[in-house]
Amino acid sequence: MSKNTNFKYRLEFSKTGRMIFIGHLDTLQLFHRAIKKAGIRIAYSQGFNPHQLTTFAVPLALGVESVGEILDIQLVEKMDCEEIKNRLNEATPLDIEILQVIELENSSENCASSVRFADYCVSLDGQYEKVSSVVQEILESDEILIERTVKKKTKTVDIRPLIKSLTVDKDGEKTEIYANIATGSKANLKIDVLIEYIYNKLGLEFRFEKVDILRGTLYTEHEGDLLPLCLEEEFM
Amino acid sequence: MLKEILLQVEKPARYIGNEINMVVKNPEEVDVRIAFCFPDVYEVGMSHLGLQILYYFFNRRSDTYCERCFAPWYDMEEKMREQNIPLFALETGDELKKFDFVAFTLQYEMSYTNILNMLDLAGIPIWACERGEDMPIVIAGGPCAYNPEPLAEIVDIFYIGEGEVSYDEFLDIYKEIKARGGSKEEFLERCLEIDGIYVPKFYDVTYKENGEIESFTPNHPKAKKKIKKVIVKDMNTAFYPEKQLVPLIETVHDRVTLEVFRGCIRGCRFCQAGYVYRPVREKSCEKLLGLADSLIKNSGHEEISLTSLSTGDYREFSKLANGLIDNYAKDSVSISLPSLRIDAFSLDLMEKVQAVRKTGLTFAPEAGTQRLRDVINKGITEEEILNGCALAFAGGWNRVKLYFMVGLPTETDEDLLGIVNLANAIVEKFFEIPKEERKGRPIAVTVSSSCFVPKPFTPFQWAAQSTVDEFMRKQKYVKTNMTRKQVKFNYHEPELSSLEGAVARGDRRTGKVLYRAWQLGAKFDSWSELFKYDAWIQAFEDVGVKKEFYANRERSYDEILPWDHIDIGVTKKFFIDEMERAKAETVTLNCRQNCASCGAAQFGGGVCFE
Ligand code: SF4
Repeated sequence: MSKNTNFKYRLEFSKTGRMIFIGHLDTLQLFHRAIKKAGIRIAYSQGFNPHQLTTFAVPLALGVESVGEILDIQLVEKMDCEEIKNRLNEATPLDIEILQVIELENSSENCASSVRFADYCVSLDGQYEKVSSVVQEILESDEILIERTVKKKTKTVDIRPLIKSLTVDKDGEKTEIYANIATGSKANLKIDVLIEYIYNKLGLEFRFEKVDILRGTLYTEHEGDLLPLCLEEEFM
Repeated sequence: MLKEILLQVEKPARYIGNEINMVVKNPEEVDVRIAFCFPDVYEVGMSHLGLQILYYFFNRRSDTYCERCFAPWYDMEEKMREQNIPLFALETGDELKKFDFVAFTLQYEMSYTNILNMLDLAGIPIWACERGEDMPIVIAGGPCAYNPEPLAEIVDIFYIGEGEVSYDEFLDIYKEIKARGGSKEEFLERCLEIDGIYVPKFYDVTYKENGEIESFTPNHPKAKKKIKKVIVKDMNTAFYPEKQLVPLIETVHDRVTLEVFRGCIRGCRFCQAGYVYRPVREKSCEKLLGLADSLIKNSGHEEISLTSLSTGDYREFSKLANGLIDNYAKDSVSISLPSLRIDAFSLDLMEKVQAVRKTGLTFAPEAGTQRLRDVINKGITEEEILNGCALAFAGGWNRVKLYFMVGLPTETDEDLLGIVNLANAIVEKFFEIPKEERKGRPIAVTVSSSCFVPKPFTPFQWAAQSTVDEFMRKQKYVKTNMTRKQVKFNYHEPELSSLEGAVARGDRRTGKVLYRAWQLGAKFDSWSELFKYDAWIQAFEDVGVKKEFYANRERSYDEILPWDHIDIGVTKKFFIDEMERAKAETVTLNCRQNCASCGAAQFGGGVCFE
C-alpha cells in the first residue's frame, strides 16, 4: 500500500436541539455533504465505490445531546484549522456546531480506535437524596452484576469496572448525574444501561424518551491518564 | 413533550426540519406566512422539484415566510391526536392555524384524503364555507389542480399554472388588504382580477337528471368564464433557485435536480403532463451549466439528475451531458439521466456517467402492438426497442425493464398478447449473442403493467376506463401467457387505479365522497399497506354517487366536462381531433416535426416559435 500522504484533522462538535433526532449514519452523510458544500478538499478511498475518508469516534444514540462529538477527516491539501471550522460552521445546519479543529500527525491513530471513556450528564426531576444514596452504593460496591440479553442469550456482566467516576449534583429542581464511563471498542458501557440500573434501584420505571442525556468530552488513555481526544499535541 | 413523542416514532427527522439550506426568518418580521403542504410523507415530498422551487421563490420576498409541512405518518398522527398536538410547520414548529395561507400541492389524486386529514389535524375546518376570518386561506396548485372540482368546496383558491407568474401579484394584493384590516371575502374578490386564479365559490353548478353537468356559471360579475393557465414564457430569465434543501435523512431522490425544460413535444395521448405543460420551453445550455454549478456547490450533493418529461428531446442534450461529465466526473459527482431513448449515443453516455455499474435499461412502450402504440401516439417501434436492446446486450447490459398499461382505448386481447411477445422477443435477442460473449450472465426482463387511468386534458378524457373486473381479467390474461422463466411480470392492483379514475375526472360532488372516505379512515391511499378500498366503496354508497359514472362511462363530445372552465391553451377542438385520429390509428407528429396547431402557441413562446 502506498504511503498515506493525506492531511489529517480532528473536529470536535456539538449536536444538540433538533439534531438529536438525526441518527448516526445520517449524521455521517450530513457531514459528507457539509464538507463538500464547504469546499473542503476531502480525500476519497480507492476502489469501485470511493467514499470520503472520515471517521467518527463513537456513535451517539438518537435522542442524546452531545457537546463532545469527534470526527476525523483526511484532506488532500493542508488547511488552516480555523478556516476548516468556520467554513464547516457555515455549511452545517443549526444545532451542529464545530467547536474545535486540530491538526493530527499523519501517523496518529484514528479517533475510533483511540477512544476509551466518555463524560455524560443525565438530568432527572427531583429525587436528589435518593439518587445520591444509590450512587454512593454503586461507588462502594466491588461489582455490579446486570443481566444483558444479546441475540436471545442472557448473560451476566459486571459493569462496575466500566464506571470511572460517578457524582450527583443539584440544579434547582433537577438532579444531575455525572458519569465517566468506558466507551469504545475495547470496553463499552451504554449510558442507558447505567441509568436504567439506577432507576430500578430507585423503584422507578426507566423510559429512555423521558430522560435528558448529554454526552460531554470523549477521552483516550495515555499512560494511565485520561486525555481529551481533541487536544493539541503540545498539551499531551 | 415533543421530544418524548419524536423518540417514539419512526424517523423523527421527518418532523424537525433544520436541513442544510433551510430558510430561517423571524415570523414576527414578515407580513405573510405560508405553510407549503405536501400531502404525503416527508421523504416523498422533499423529493419533489416544485416544492424546492416555490419554497425559495416565496422566501426570496423579505415580506413572506414560507415554511413546510408534510403528512405525518400514522404513528406520529396517533401520538399527535393523543396529546392534542396540532399539525405544525417544520421551520418554526408553529401550528398551521397561525398562517395566512395553507397551500397544498396536488401531485396525484390519491393524496387528496391526506389533505383532509392534514386540515383536520391542524384544527382547520375541512369545508371552505366553515372557515371564518380567523382561519388560514387554503390554496392549491400543481398538476391535479387542472381539474379542481373534486376539491372545489374544500380549497378556497386554486392556482392554475406555474407559480412563478402570478404569486407576486397575489401576495402583494393580500398584504395590502391585510394591512388595512380588509376581509377574506374582499381578498377572494380581488383574486378574480389575477391571471390563473380560480375561486370556486364564485361559480355555480347545476346538474341534469342523468347526472351530467347542466350548467357551470359565474355568480359574481367579475368572475371570468374561463380561467387560463399562466406559464413562464422564457425559462432563462424565470426564477430558479441556486440552492436546494438537503434533507437530513434519506429521501426518495437525494440529489441535485436540474430542470432542463418544461413541457413535452411528443403528445402521447394518455399523458396529461404532456398537454398541460405545453408548449415546450427550454433553458439554454449555458444557463443549465451555471445552475448546476451553484446547485452542487450549495448543496454538497454527490449526484445530479436532469429532469423533464423526456430529457433526450433537449436540443443541446449532448453538449449539456458532456459539459456535466467534464465538470464533475473528477469530483465524484455522478450524473443521472432518466428517461432516455436507448441508442448508440445514449448507451455510450450511460457508460460514461455510470462508471462500471450497469443498471437496468428501461423502456416504456406502454402498449404491446404497433397498432395500439399508434392509437396512443407513443412513437416508439418494436424495432427501436429490439435494436436498443441488442446494442445494450453487446455492451454488457443484461437487465431490461418494460412499462406497459392495460385498459387502453380500443385494446383487444391481441394487444395484450403483444406485451408477452415483445418481452419474449427481447429474451430471444439476448440469446442471439454468441454464448461465449454472454459471460455467464443471465438475462432478466421485468414487465410492469399498470392500469390505464383516463385523465382530463387528454384526448382520452371522454373514454371509459376499464372496470376493476376487466382490469383483473386483462392482467391475468397477460400473466398466464407470460411463461418464459426469464421474464418477470408485475402488475398493479386495479382498485387504486379505478378510484383514481373516478376522482381524476370527478366533479364537485366527488368532494363529498372524499370527505366520507376520509371519515371512514381512508388516508395514504397510495401506500398499499394503508389503502382501504372498502372505505371508498362505502363512501360512494353513503354519498349516493356512482363510481362507475365517473370512471367507466364514455362521455360525448358535447357534454360539459367538470374542468371545462379551465383553459390550458390546448383547445378542446384539438383534443377531439386527436381522439378521432386515435380511433383511426393515425399518428400525430411531434411539435418539432410538424406543429399540429394545438392552441398552445397563444402563450407566445417556446417550441411553437423555434
Ligand atoms: S402549437 Fe404546435 S408547436 Fe406549439 S405546442 Fe402545440 S403542437 Fe406543439
